[in-house]
Amino acid sequence: MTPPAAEHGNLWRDVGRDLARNPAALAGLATLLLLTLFCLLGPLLWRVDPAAMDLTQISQAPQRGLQTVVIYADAPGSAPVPDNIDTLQLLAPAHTESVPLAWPGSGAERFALYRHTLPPSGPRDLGLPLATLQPDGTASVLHYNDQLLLENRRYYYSVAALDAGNAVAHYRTLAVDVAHATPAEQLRANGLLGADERPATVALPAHPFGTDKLGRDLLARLIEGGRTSLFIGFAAPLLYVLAGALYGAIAGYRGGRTDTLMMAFADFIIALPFLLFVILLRIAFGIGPGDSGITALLVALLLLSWPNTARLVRAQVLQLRSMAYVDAARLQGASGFYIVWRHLLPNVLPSLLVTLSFAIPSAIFTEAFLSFIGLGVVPPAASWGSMCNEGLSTLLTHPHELLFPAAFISASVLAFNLVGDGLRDALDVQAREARQ
Amino acid sequence: MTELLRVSGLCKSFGDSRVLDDIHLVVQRGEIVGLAGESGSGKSTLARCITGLHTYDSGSVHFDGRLLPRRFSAADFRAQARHVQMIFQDPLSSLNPRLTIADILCEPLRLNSALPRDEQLALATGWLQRMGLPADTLSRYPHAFSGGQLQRIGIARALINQPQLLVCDEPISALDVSVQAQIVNLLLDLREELGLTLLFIGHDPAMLAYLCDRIVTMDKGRIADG
Amino acid sequence: MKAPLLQVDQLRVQLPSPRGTVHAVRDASFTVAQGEMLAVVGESGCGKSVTAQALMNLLPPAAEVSAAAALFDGQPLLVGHYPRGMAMVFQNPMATFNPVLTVGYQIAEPLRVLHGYTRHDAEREAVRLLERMQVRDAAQKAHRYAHEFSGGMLQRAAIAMALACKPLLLLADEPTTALDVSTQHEVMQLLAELRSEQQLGILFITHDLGLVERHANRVAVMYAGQIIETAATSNVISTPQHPYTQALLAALPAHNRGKRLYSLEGSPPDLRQPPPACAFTARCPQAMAHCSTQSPPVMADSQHARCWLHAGDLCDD
Repeated sequence: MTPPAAEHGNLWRDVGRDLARNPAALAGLATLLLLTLFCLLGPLLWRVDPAAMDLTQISQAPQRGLQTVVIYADAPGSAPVPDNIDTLQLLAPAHTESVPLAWPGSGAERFALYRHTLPPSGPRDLGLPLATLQPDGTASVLHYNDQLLLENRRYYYSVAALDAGNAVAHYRTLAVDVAHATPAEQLRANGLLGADERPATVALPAHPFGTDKLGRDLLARLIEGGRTSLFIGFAAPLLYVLAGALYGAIAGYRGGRTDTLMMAFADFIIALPFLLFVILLRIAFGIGPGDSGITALLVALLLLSWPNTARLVRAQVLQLRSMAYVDAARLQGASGFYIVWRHLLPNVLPSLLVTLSFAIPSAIFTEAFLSFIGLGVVPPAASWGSMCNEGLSTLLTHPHELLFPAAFISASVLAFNLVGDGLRDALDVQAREARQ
Repeated sequence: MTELLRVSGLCKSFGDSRVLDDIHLVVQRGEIVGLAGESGSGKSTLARCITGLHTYDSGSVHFDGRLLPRRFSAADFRAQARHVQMIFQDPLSSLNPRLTIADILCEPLRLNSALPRDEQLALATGWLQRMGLPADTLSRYPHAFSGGQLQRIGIARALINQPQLLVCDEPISALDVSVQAQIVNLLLDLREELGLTLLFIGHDPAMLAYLCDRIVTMDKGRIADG
Repeated sequence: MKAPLLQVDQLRVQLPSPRGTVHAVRDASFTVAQGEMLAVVGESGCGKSVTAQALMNLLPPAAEVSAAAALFDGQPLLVGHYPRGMAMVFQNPMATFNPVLTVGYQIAEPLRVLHGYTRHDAEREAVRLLERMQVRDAAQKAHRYAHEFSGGMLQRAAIAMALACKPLLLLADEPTTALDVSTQHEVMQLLAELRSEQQLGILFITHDLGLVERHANRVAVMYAGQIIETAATSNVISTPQHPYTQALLAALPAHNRGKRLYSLEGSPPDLRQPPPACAFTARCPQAMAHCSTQSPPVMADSQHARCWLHAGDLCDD
């Protein structure tokens, strides 16, 4: 054998050192640390109720703090229409309550007004049709007040002159930046405006990650969702990996008929359908379709996931059982339980740890999936998976509602996988060096 | 009595094949008896039956006049732990890689004596000195040591409760020539100092002839010569 | 005097490892003549296996191999590919054979690939080789798989496979270590017969000096990557010159009846930081002051030991 290596010491110290040399694993660990801090310290630093609905900002994109124009009920009505204009223009500053537009009414039989979120690329791509107007002879200016689902962004309005066959002969485009506006009563109802105050603009509460379609702050929901998802992701695997390990160790050590019977039972459990069990457990626990079923989810995960670990541990124990140090312990009078606990399990621990670090992202993903299809956590409670479900309906218009929770799920799953990979590689090195 | 071990008519089968067939063996106190034979001759199996690690079908094993059970429970092992111990062929797999040498050496004391921890460690240190191992050995792990050193630690562990019979299952086969000499010299010295009895399994006839007072050869599960 | 079959001069092998470069072989020089068996004897970690692997181009690409001269049958060695005319037998016969192919197929393979035999001729020749290796029922055994052979028989099949390469030189890396004692001697006998019959050169690597006593012509003793003594076998056994060789012999029971076996203290040096001069100084019972500072010279007479104790013989003062 090669001469003794003086640097070798505790297995964990060596594993830690190898992990420290693995940039991917370090990145994973850093991400996990950040996510944990995010979930633990978040509620203290960002005191916003995840279930509170800020109706002044629905489906709001991430912003640092919005100024909204206050619309007073007693303000003068619509802007006056001039007699003569020469081009498509705004009659008053555009805001989300109203965009008054006017254009010259001559030169065609009919005019169509379109609104697009992007600059139109041609006569066939003018956007959403808002109205078709016919000059009525007397007026030489046509006007229209757009109030349709306006958001504070840039729109491209196009007025198209239609010919006899209703095709677009020519058109003009105007880019309009629409400012955020809120009726004063709404602001007063939300406590943002005093009864006697009449400022022109008011600052709205900031939502760094935006809001969802019910006006709930996404950052607060991400924090709470993280607590739910990570709790399930940690607690369930920890419990079922431990249970599976003990089961497999006992089966592997006893051997013979005990082993056969125990593993047959484990095989039976593997065959059970997971989704069906979640549904059955929900019924058994009396959880209705609109209620959160975290307990049912946890129980299902625990009951159904332990056999894989049991198999893994049993295979290792079978191999370790033939090691001479097990014989040596038996000769010293050690009981079976002592041997399993003191000699076998600690040698199984490294691969168990790797299993655990892959079981966690799997559990997070399972919870996300179940919440996504409505069998897990249900709104107003938050979990990253249920947030993805809610964000699906607005994917095309407000992608941030889906992208943020999805990104958090992906980041945590990726981080755990990287750490698991790193752990496995580090433990491999130890196994390799120990064998030399 | 001078007779320490008596094996009578021991038989063991694995399925159809007879691994041990009517084995008779006597070992006197203080003797070094060699057990020779090709691989597959059954010498390892016999050693494991004697120590209780394997069960057997028929026959008997008497140790120091007492009949040993055919199937050992943990209590039976405990009763025998201070009388019969064993050292193994592969030095690395005979020590748990996750335990320190201190834990490994103190385990027999924890299981079979009432000594407090500090006295256990003192005893372990004494044995390590006797084995010629450095002082810091206790805090290190098995993979830091060479084959010869590991085998010496294994011997210390086996002898720490001062058994009368040491069964050696090919303990030098995996070692270099000069290290083999070390271990063999050590065993001879221990026999002198402690009055130890050895049942030594090996396959090198020259080494067996050098070490043993008497050699028993096995072939296909039977004793080859009287 | 015919040129030697294998001539290696100052072979150096460095292997990168996570904790530093290992100088596995340091200036090893040896020759093997046609029809001669040279035994390379040494303990674990001395570099004997690495030497053979270096000659056969079996080391990983990261290994650095160099030599002042390396010639095989007049052709340069160490040119980056497997040298035709050399074949190797390894320690574990089970690992030598692919478990999913028949033994006969694998013995026939070199015949087909290296020597252009047809499948039919190769199969026939494979059976003939097995018979030559004293494997009973060779024709039937050729259709069996490795796990159906006993250890000794499988190792003989491995030698047959090596012979199918029609080598001039056979490298054997501890081929008998995993076998029973009686089988060991059978295999050694077989190799000795092949040597005389076919004038096959054999480089036999082992840690057991007693094993090669009877069959090897010459012995080279390796320690810490260096060859520290080379001589005819009978001379090495009867009058070993280097203290390490003496220690090895003194540890063998067959040579020390009635006396206490001698066991060396300490362990071989770490080859990541090889000692500057004589590597054996730390454990040598006859070490002198300058042994640790000056490397003893290597001399090229028939028995030479790399040791200051014997260097003085040839000096004029």
